[in-house]
Amino acid sequence: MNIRNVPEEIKTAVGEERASKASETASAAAERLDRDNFWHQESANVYRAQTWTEKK
Amino acid sequence: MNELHWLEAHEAAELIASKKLSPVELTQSLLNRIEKYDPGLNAFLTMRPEASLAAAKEAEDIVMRDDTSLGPLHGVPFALKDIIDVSSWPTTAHSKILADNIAEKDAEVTARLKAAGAILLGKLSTHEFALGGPSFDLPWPPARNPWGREYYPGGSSSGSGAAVAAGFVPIALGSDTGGSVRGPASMNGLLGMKPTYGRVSRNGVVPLSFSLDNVGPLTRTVRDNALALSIISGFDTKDPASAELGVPNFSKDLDIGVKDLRIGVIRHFYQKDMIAGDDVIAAMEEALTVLSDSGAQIQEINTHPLIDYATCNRIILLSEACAIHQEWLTTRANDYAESTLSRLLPGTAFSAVDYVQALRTRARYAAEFNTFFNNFDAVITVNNMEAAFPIEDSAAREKYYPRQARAPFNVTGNPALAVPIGFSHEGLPISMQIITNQFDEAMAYRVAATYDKVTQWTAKHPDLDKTATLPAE
Repeated sequence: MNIRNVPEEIKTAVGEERASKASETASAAAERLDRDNFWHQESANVYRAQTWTEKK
Repeated sequence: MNELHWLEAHEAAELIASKKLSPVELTQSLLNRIEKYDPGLNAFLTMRPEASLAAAKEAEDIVMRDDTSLGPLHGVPFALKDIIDVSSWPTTAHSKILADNIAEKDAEVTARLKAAGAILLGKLSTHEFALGGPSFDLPWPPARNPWGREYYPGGSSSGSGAAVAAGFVPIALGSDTGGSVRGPASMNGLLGMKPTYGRVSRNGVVPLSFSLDNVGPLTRTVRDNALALSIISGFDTKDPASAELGVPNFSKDLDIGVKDLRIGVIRHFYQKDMIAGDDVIAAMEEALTVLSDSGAQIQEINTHPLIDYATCNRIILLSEACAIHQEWLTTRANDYAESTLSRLLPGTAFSAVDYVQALRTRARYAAEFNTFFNNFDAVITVNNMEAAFPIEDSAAREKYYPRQARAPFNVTGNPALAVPIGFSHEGLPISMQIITNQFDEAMAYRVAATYDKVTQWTAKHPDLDKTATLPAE
């Protein structure tokens, strides 16, 4: 699993323990994400979300 | 006349317009009820009773002048989740960080409700920033469930759910980013609508996740929900996601039944991906039988596993939320509730690629999901996997909080309506969702109205003398 790390300045603000737990949670979620998209699949922000038609 | 606190909003509006009910009498009656019972429920964060009564008096004067241009909620009280701005009122988002934040103007939804003649009774508890909670480490206690004050009322629009179920107001607004209107609706036995993304303006609402946030109404009846949505819907140039579409009459099909409608049911969300409680599974099957007996054609359908939708929702939601909270996370971390911080922090760790990949997955899921509506008029699935859990039981909170099937429809953007389908063996409400095509909220209300006409679950109310009073000192 690729580890996702909390940025240093936030780790300093919230403490090592919280940052470590957040890192674990984020890493697990990122690992679990379904990335089985065709290579040309556009991201959602390219669409008008209300109709899922492409922005003109 | 019904007891005033259980009057439906549309009934109250009709009585007021025909001079059979005084807005002042109604407002005072609800204020008295709030004063008596809210100490046990903590639904309200801010109230200004004198201002509410002054607005009610003004509404009464207008009626007495035989003004014929009354709004559809003229003289009818409502309340707002405390992330929605009201001019000159605090918007705290239930957080120390915004404790001194005073709104300069009304949110668009507030302005539309006021223009419809509605009377604001106050601002309601929420999970902090519509994300954390229920939190016991903030200056304000969390809202509690009117069906049993020892139980969780759902979140994050927790006060909105509690206030409507308790008979404090007939309409409250909440927000829904991963299910936060439909969760409290589920646990309080209410109708709760997450409209199509773009249907209701978010201008003047504290953001959690720009591309997933929606504002929606919680009510005790289908008709009131359709009425409230019709008032707050519509294009707003101040919301970049607002859809340039007209507002249909959401109530127009409430009485025409469901004969020959094609309804898909996603059972794998609650019988395979997660296993719902026995009460919920049984109630879901009974609900499908009611709709089938009413003439609908029910057919099972399959989509992506619940966890895939939930993960996609979480990565987008938390990435966008952390863009909003980044500065406060470094400068005011200690001012957040612990539960808010623990839910928010993973969003700081996702990579840019994770976020974009989730957005790509979202577009694909939405496109795929919307093909169902080539063959179906509506889709039904579960709401919460169980009824409410004890609010002070931290182990139950950890276990049951994520057990819901609402996030998929924030991902796809479709309308999703929470509808009561009975009670657990402990006497706590349980709920299903009706999901429809983009901008076809009227279909969700049509199916819900047909179902509720048969079952009458929405006619049941908690007895606050038994369920909501504070324990003796």
